[in-house]
Amino acid sequence: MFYLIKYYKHLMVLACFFPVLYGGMHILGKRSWSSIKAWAAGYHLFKEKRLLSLVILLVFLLNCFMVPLYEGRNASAEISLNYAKASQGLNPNGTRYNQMDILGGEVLERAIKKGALTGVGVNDLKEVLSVGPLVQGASHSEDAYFISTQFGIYYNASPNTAHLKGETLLTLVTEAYKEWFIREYSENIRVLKLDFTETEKEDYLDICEFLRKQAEAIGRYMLTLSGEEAAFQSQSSGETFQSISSQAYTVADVMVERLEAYVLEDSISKETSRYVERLKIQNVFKDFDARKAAAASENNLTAISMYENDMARIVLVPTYDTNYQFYMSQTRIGIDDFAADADSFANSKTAIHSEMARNEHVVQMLSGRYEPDGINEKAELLISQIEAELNRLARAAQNLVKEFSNRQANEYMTITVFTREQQAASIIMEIFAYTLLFAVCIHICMLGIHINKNSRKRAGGT
Amino acid sequence: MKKVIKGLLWIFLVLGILAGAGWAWIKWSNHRFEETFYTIYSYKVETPVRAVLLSDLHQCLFGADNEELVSRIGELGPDIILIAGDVINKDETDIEYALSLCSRLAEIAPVYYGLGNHENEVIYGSDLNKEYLEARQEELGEDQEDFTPLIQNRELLQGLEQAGVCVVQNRSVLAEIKGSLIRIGGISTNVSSFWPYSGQFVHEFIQAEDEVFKILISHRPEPAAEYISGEPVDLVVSGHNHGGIIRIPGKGGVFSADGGFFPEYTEGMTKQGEMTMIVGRGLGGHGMLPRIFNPPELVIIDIN
Repeated sequence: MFYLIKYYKHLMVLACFFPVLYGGMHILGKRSWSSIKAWAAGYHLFKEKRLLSLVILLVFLLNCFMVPLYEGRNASAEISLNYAKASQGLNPNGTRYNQMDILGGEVLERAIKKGALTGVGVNDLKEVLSVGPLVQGASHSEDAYFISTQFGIYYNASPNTAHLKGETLLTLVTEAYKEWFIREYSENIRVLKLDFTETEKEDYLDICEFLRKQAEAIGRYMLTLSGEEAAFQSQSSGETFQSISSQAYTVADVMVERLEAYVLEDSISKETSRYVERLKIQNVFKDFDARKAAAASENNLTAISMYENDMARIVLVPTYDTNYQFYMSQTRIGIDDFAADADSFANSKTAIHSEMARNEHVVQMLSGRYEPDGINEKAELLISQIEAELNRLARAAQNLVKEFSNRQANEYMTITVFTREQQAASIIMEIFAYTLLFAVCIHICMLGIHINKNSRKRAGGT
Repeated sequence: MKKVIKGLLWIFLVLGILAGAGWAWIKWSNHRFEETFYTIYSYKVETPVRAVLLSDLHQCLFGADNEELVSRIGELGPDIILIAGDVINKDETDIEYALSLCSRLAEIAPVYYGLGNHENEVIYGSDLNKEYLEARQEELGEDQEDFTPLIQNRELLQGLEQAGVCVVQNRSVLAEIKGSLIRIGGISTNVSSFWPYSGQFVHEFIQAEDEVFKILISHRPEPAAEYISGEPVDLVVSGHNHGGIIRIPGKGGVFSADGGFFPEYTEGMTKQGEMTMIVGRGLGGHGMLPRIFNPPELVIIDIN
């Protein structure tokens, strides 16, 4: 049955070809045009006319059944990418866009699962689906360059997929692709899932550092998203990326700072001796690092002083700008690298010294303490307040990012699956066209038979 | 004379063949359902939730005792099943049909049943139109949105309750589906009786709980489109118009009882502001007119 439907149109053409060949041969066999005209005029008396009408009607009904079935086994859909980078052939995150992802294994597997499709596998779907850009550019001239943001997906049934409705299958595949695309390129909210369980084992100053990092991570992430769309505002809470970011930095600069000041001023620690020892060892290693950075900086400065006179200060390279205007570009040379490295190592040394000074201050404060080791109630209260505030901010940020991603996701692409209802006009036209073709051909055949009969009668009469 | 009779016989034969083929095709196409998949995106659901929407079965059978329908729904693996009314007929009512179907559906996933005009006729003795409700003001009392005093036949409601089905008539329930909170409400009033017989409930339903995904089952799509278009209801599901009964390619549905000729809402998904509305073509039919070019439809909605 599958092949009968697949080749139905071919069979129809063949069914028209043989009668027209037979009839045509008989008509053309009579060389005299006037006799053909006379026989054609007498054709209305042809006795099998009604039977012929019935046959044509049956063919019409057959076409009504078979042509929609034939068309149902072919379907098409269109995906239009709507984000800005699509016109450069890129994904939303800047990586290269690949149209073949539409028919990727993961997408097709998801489509099968989504539609609870039975009796088909990923490979079956790969065989019957194809994808291509709707508008194809060319490389022969710059004017012909074109990166398509619209892609067509085409379905052509095979015996394994004949039981599936093309329209439904394409809906499933395109939606599965959209889901995959959104998951792949929507914002990652892992940074907003906070976990404070590990802090219980840490000493108070380490907790301060951890909480500060958490607050700053939220603040930084929100600032990054603010760069994408600063005006975006939550419809439910009214928050913006900027407002959450500033709240997060306030937590780091005010609440965590207050906790740290309290811990240092009151010299609080869960286990002083161990903590002090750790800081001292840290300082030994930091001292090595600082000396290494100082030496590296010194080396670079020495190199500059040694070779400054022999090395070119400026190198100009002739080049063109984007408007094809000639200019001399100043390029980076070896001496610039030496200077930059020297500066970087010097900064690094200063930062390490600053950390060492802080560690020494902490060691000094803790060494002269009188408080007993263990849990401090006020510090614990401050920590729980900061954790609660960070949790609240993380939740608000998560909702805002989800809302943002949700809106973006809906705008990433537009999917259009062409339904059979949309193709109905062409299907109806096809039904009538094939019926008409058959009717014309069968009439030519009958006219041939009629001419043949009459010729025999005449031959018999004479 | 003989010639005329012969000609007429031919015409009858041709018409007979056409009518026979048409009848066979209508029978065949009305007893096999199509599946339509929709996907909507919302940040309010933690993990994807799949809902299956059935509407306007009108006691129609797909396989013995709806076995084909139930087993296919089971294969699709829904997390919730929404029924948008008119499972039974107001005449030749077969309550057992609804109870048998719903109890088996309830074994697959939680079922939320919004009543249709046919259920209203069976339960209250009339559809909930304005004239009927205004005439029953005294029985309704203070709370005009609680139709309990009007109940004449409790068999269906009791049976559904026993089958574990949640009937939502001017009320909503909060359900936790795969870690996400979803509030499901239902109305069965029409455009004329929406105010004041459902409006207050819907208004409160819209206002409450910003972070919860909200689904409103409104048997008729017109009240939702008329009164709450653009409001923050995440999803409205409807039926009633049977896809316009006869569908003309390029024109859509031809007729509906409420919308007259070429009604606006016969099938498909529309987005109106924050509200997404999905209208199902339904699975059955009622009355003389058969469904033509309008196969029964099972709607699958993925909320991601």
